[in-house]
Amino acid sequence: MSTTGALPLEPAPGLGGEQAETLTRQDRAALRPPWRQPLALVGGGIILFWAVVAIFAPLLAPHPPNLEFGPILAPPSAAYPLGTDELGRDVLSRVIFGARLSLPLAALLVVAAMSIGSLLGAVAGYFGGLVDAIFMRLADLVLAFPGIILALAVAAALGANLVNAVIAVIVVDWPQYARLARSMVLGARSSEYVTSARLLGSSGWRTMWVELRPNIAGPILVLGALDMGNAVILLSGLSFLGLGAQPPTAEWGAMVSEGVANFFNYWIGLFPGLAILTVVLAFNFVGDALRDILDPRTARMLGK
Amino acid sequence: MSGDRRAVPPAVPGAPLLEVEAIDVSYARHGHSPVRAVTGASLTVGPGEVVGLVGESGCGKSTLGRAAVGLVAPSAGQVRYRGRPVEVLARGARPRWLRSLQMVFQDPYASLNPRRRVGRQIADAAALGAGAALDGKASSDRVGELLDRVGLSPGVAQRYPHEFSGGQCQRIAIARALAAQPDCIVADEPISALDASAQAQIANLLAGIAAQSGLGMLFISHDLSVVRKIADRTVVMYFGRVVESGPTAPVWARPAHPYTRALINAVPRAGAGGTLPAELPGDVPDPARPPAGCRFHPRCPEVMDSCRTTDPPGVDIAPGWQSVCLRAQPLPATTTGAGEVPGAAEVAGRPEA
Amino acid sequence: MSASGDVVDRAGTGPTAGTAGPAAPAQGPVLEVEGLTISLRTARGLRRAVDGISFSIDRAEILGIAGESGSGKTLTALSVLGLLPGGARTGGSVRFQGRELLTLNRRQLREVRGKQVALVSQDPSTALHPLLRVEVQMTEHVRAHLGFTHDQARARAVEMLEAVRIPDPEAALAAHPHQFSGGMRQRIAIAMALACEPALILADEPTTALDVTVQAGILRLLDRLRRERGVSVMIITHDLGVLSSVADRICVLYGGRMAEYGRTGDVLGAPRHPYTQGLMRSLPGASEEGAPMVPIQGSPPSLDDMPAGCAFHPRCEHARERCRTVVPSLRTLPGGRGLACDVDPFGQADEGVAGMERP
Repeated sequence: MSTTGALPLEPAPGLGGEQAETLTRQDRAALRPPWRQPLALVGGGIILFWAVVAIFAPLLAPHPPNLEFGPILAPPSAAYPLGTDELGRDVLSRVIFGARLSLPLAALLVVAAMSIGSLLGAVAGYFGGLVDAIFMRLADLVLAFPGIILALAVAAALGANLVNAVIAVIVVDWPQYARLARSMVLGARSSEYVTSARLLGSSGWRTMWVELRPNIAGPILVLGALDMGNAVILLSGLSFLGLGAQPPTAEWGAMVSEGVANFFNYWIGLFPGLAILTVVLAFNFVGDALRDILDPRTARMLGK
Repeated sequence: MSGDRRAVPPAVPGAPLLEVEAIDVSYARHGHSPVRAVTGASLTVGPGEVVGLVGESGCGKSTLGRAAVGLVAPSAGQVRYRGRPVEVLARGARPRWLRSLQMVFQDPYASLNPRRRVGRQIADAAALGAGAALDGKASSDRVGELLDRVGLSPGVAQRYPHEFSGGQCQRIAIARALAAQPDCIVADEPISALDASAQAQIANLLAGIAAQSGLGMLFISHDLSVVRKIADRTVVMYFGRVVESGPTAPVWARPAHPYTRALINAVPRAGAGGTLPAELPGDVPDPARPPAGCRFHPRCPEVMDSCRTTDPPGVDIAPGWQSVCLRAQPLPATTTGAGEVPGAAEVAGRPEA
Repeated sequence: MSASGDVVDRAGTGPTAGTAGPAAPAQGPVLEVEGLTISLRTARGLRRAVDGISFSIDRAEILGIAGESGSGKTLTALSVLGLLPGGARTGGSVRFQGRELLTLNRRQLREVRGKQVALVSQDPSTALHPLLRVEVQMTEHVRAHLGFTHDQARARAVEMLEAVRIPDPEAALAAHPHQFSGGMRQRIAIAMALACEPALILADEPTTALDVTVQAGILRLLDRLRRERGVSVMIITHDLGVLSSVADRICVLYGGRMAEYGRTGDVLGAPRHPYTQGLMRSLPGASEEGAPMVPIQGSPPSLDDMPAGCAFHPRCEHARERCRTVVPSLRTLPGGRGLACDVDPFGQADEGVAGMERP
């Protein structure tokens, strides 16, 4: 019976550990499946909302994003719910079309960083030695820089456009996956199920793919979900600094940047900024809930 | 002693199934001189034979077991399987002829992949052992057959390890080992982590498998009483050395080494009616500073002066029965012998009740 | 195989060693548990993990609680220490020296725990802080609980280490836990538990992680402590061999209920409950020379699929129709024994049980 088995005993009588490890309120909240946790639900809802917006942008947006037709710098009104910018473009339409860029690009670069990072990390962890030393020093090198600075440098070196910005963020982003994958592979490498597979004749690569992958996939995916918000910020940040999306592309970071140039017309920067904020928050909510589920302790209590 | 029970011939005629010959295993320690976990240990396992390897924790019995399947490299001596040297596991896949030398581990949950269905794990093992993937139907039939053989319903193949009790997980781990059609299994403390009622189930299952399919088994355990029940021969290790080895029943009846005696006397017996087990004072010595002479002498109740200086040689007590003790004396040839061991062979031969 | 251990003089130990079970002896037992129930919150709702357990422990007595995982043995011990997991509901009563423990608040419990009731757990390394010297750990709670000065506490620590036969206690005090072997660490953990002179030691699988030679030392130590210091011990284990060698009385738990209790010799010598009988037959050490181990089929039930009726019926070869629906009540038998089996297949053959034939 796992219920009693999981109860840790008090270490020592009188050694201060008066509190046995028990279910706290947070634990119990985390025990709930994600579809019953309010924050995860809110996060999921927001993500779903933005996904729908991105997919149906041409139908939802009142105007094309780059059409310079309206009054210049009009504040929000019935005709232009979020106002217009200095070229007379509808901010609402631009925010809606911005979702078509930010979300897919963030997803793409997270998937790429996740694949590259976890592959390198898993290989480093499994084979160790020189491979490990090379890959992980490379990761340390990247991690030693503040992310946005390195991304700036890479994007600047490659040239200012959106594709290069994505590459720059991938370069900055992969080491965290490598570290996580490596540490999990290191933990599992000497476990007996891996040894059993090896004794049965499974090669190193096959063992890593068949036996280890399912065991490290969960935490990596959670990290990916948590990282989506980060990716949106980095990408928008590069655009904000002029190294990502170039005018007239409707990209949220670039729009915030335009907002800064027109500081007293708050709506130009505020609404794309809110879009970034909601997306980042939503991914963090969902990622947190997923992390609780995958925590082995809570997972066991869930009967997983 | 039980080779005649079997009809399965070894691949190299005359060679024992598994042969550990005078191996040393050393572990490098960071900043220290390496420690020898196993020193000059030898044993053999024949087809259909259950060899029990006992000793206290830290005596090197698990290291010997791992060396026997090629998980660690001996620094001296040799391990042979079917007469051929066992290759130490490297990055590539284990050679196919060696895949019939399998291992079962102590922790039943750790030895199964927690995120894969047990049926998949067994099917994989079958495919790897055969060196070719089986098609869907053949594969699921084989999985069902193996689960049935270890006493589980074939219907459980779709479940994950956490849905089973410890004893059931150990059955699945055994089924997975059997999937590779092994001729020899090294079982490292396979019952120590299990509940009381599961211990007897698994011990009987393993002994029954050895008896029915003629595979040899090295059964490593710190529980002498279980070894007594299922092993044909018993090998006792102390501090990296084999101190006594011989047919189980006579070793239990007349242990020739003081350490074997101490171990046997320390086993608590249920129903014995208020008998406290005998204590063996002292601890296993620091591996970095092995005592001179006989390694057991600091704890030995029968220590003599010569024990402190002389490394005892192996003495043949009777055919197939050796004790590494200066006091050991050969028995007169008529009193005992491997051939007239009562009990043990029948016990091992009985399938699980 | 002749056993070379000492024969325990059971008659001279506890004053009321014979009077057992729910009927509490008049002399006032150290611990009295009556009708204890513990319900746990699981993913599938509230489940009763311990159901109506009653026993008592006298001064200087060793009571053995036998059970496998899921039997409720650990929960029972935790309830005595007030360490049940959050959300657990308890019923019945747990009285320590006449004082009800289940209703105490945290502060009062802390007073009892560590000072008067001490826990020795399976893994000694969890009881010892890896970074602190043994001296700090051993003197700290003596000073906290008993108000000793540093010198008094140190003297007490040395005395306790001597009592558990650590060779050179002074050197041991200066050392860190990792410098000791597992057996030595368990001795130190016991010495720590003893330092406040508790009236009761709860030993939860104290020797399961140890080698037989070390186990023998620990068992002899517990036996000596109760003789010399009058400590009562509740030893919880699934190893009937261990219980047989030290326990005066034992209480066999299955599925959160009591299956059988009584004097050790009676219960293990002639088990009446089919579960106890099955455990005995599955033991390699207990069955006669050459006789095979006969395991109980199946696995212990988990909290989520506890069978109706007698919890043991799905594994019991003597189960009748009635066992599937009716929870057997605990009957008192002569000689301070108790049995919760309505079939009682071994009741008649009390004499001949040793030569049990297989059905």
